[in-house]
Amino acid sequence: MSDWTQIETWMRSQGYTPSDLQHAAWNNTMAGCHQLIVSPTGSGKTLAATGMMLNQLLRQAPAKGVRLIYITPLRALSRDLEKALIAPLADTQHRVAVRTGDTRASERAAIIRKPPALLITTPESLSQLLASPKSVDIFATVEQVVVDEWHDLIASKRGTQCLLAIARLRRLAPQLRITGCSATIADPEHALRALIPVGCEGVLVHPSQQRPIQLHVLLPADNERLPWAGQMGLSLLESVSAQLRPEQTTLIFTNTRNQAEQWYQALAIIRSDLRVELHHGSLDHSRREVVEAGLKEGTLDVVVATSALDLGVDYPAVEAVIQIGSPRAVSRLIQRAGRAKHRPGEPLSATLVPTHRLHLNEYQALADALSAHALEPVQPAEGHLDVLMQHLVTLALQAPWLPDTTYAEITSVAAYAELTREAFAAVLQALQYGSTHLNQYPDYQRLVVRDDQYVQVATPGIARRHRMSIGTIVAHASMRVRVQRGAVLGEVEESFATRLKPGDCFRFAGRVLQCVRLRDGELWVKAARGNASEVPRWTGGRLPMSQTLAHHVVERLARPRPSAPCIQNHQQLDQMIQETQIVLNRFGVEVDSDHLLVETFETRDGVHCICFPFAGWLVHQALGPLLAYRLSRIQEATYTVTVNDYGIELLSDDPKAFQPLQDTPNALFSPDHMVQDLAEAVNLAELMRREFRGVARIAGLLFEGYPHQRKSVRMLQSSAGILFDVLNLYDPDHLLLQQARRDVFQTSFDLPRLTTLLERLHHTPVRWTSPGQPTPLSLPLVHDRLSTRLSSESVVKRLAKCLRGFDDNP
Amino acid sequence: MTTLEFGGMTWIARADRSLWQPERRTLVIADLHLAKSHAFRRAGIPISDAIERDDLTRLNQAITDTRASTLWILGDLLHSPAGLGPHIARFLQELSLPTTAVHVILGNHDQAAAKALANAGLQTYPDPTPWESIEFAHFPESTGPHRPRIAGHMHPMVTYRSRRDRLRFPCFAYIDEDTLVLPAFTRFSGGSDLNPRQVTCYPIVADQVLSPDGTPPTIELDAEDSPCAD
Repeated sequence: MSDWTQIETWMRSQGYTPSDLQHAAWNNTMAGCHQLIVSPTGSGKTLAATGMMLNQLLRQAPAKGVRLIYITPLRALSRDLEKALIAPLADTQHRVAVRTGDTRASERAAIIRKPPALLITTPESLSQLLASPKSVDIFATVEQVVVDEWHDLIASKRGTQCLLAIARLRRLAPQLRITGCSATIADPEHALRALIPVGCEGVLVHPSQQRPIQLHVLLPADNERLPWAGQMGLSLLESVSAQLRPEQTTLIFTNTRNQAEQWYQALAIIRSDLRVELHHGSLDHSRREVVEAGLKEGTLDVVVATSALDLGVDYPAVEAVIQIGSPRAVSRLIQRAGRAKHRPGEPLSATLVPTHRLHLNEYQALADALSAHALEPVQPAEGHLDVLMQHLVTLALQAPWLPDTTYAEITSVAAYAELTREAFAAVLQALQYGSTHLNQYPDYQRLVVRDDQYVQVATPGIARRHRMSIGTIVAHASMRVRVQRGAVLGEVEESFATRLKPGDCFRFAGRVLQCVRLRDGELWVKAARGNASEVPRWTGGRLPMSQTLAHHVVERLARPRPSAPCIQNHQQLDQMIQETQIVLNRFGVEVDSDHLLVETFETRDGVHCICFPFAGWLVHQALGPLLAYRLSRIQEATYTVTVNDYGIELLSDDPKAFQPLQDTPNALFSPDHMVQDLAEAVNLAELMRREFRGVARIAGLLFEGYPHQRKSVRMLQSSAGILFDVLNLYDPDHLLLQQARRDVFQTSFDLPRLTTLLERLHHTPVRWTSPGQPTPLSLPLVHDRLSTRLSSESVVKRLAKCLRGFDDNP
Repeated sequence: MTTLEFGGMTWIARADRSLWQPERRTLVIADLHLAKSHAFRRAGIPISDAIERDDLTRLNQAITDTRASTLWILGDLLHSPAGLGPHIARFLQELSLPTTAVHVILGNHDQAAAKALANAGLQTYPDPTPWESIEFAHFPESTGPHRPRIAGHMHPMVTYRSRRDRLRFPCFAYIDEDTLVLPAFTRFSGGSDLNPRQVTCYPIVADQVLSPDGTPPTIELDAEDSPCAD
């Protein structure tokens, strides 16, 4: 047993009692183990992760060099962490410093000159530090690296960047151990292996027991008032309003920024007695920080938020959490419910507000999954080539490197364990000559291999630009919204901004604004009176339903039965679901997991064919066009595809359009030639073009520009679209295009899930119904029309249609 | 390919991004941006040099097609004034044509290279330069009254939107009744977005120059020059 006197004494002085979880984590660090601490927020995991080092520091006099690096994905949290970590060290000479994108140049220099014992940073800032030759010395003393919110990083390029940086830190400080912190996840073993170096052992630290959760479903007085379709949910506005009380802070989660704006607007009007605020990812930093501070201090009554508030610290002042619509994933509901105050021994709780009737079944499914502890599995990211390219240049800025040793270092990261020596050589070649096609890029320079085989950066100009553009966060093309003679309110997507004409009104940041003009890449606005129906839409915002939840939804629809008791008002809920079920039965809707339900009916628009694979819209987004493509190969017709979380709607004006689906349904779902057919079915080049912006930005092909930029830099600016077109034309198998293609298949389609789904549907019998009109199950699909048609028409024809559209909508 | 009336003359807007005046046997292009890809490669961005070779091939093809006696380049012949290395000399050599006189308006990217251009046998002119009843210029904007002006610099692109679609094309644009702006000749360029409701634009779509209402041209002046039917 180790001696934890110092840290325990400090904790007791603050009124905390060290928990078993904390002791376990400290002992692991002491024993030199890598570990992953899996626990909900509020269980003291910051102290669990850092306590051992704090204990050491409390006993020791300051020495040179950084001892602990704390990596957080949330820049906004770094100051809170700083306060939390400084407190135990207040009476010592040890220093704690924060290095994020917001840190001033003078502070940055100070960190290098006089390294703190504890450094709090983000994945991007850590990479930036590594790009300095001086980092070799200040990081040689590191004993522990903490990766916070690992569940959030694990599947992303940021996570990969973070792991590559840690691999370099291990070269500088071989003694260091890694501690990950994660929210509750389905397969922690998997998450641990993705975090720690290949071939190393690690330990999982679990809390002794799971915190139970209690749900309350907000139900309208009578079922009729709950619509069969719709995402906004404002029909329950009054019931939600009745839940809000001035004496308690309530956090209302929505699924999209658009929805948050609308709910905020509505609540601000009908509850002018309350202090209502808005929080989402497109609002300006300063505004979000004010809201976050208000939540912490309890000076706000209601905050309408999106997933931008899913992560991070809990807000002790928040006493109630309301979820509008479906949280779409079991783990997201737990995260959101976990934002509220913790009273020891009391369960997590959340109020669920359905926006349409089928949400009631989803809530039952959520309760089932929660009772069975069925959470979404996480899929660790695979080694991205764009991130690797950036990192290899970063390493060369720290010190010239030898390919052999660097290859060993990179492949010690789990995400790159499979990277072959040839693939590594190809990446190096691309950095040296522009591509593996060496002759196309005369005079190319980025990295050079010296005569002694060491790799270094070619010119100071390249070094300077690289330092400016380290990072993997790529925002959608966006424009700042600025009030005339005033502040920046936040950002809207460029596609929305450029559609506005001067004088157009829209709602943003909870205000009605009038477009004045677009200038210097900013949207200038002024306050407007009255009402505006336009609310910006953000494309990044939609969350697909998780497979775990979808599975439970199908189970629920297939076998109606009483709700799990973690729903407080389960009797009322069951009664309403029974009424819903009666309606579904009347329409002949029979869902079960052994059949694929297919509905057809005719309307003025044409023949509709709706299939219900229940696989989430991300997968449906690929399956829909794939089906349409395969149908069109047998039956010449035009198909319009619409998808949602439950199913796919195909619409055609040809009455025989769906004959092949009736004749040979299983052939249409064949997993053979899936990728080829998909590439034909969707405009793959266009999707890659979109994805390429991120790839190009990360790989250092795109300069976003920076303050006081000089002309020579402007000469190098280009849009990702043009770079993509040129590469695609002249060097179609360039590494970065391969990466863009992989990103499309991962992020736009979820290829692994699509494969599994097709393998299942290939053998699943179809259950046809012809209800004569849309059933309640298909109504949301027909109603929402979320997706657009994938066009195979010529560009000239499309232009003709666009121009015709002018007349309809002048 | 479509016909435009400008400055009392009839011009042919070609899908290869050049403008042709048959009576004067004069071909006009703007914004070739030679060696742009070179500047990118020196900064570590892999852009193939095939792009410039293609641009020059297209230019040579246009000259061959039209048998032009004069070629006017309305500025930004070179992308970067810095680093007038051997790679530029190579390109300029390709531009010295035996049968065609090449006249260059000096654009914002060209000033420093004026001497090199002259050395390569190209005649350089200030911005703007009168020609016949009109003037050629690099910059479309001018202060005060001016002759009808054909200019470059803007890289005009026109964007069409409908509720379901968004399409963007390079175009010939009348930014006002006295100013015709040519598309950038190089295909490696972005551009200024124009609204087709505000500016009369002739978009280059696939292999054709379409009229502002989006229809393909119906009258062909010169059967010899007619493009292949799509």
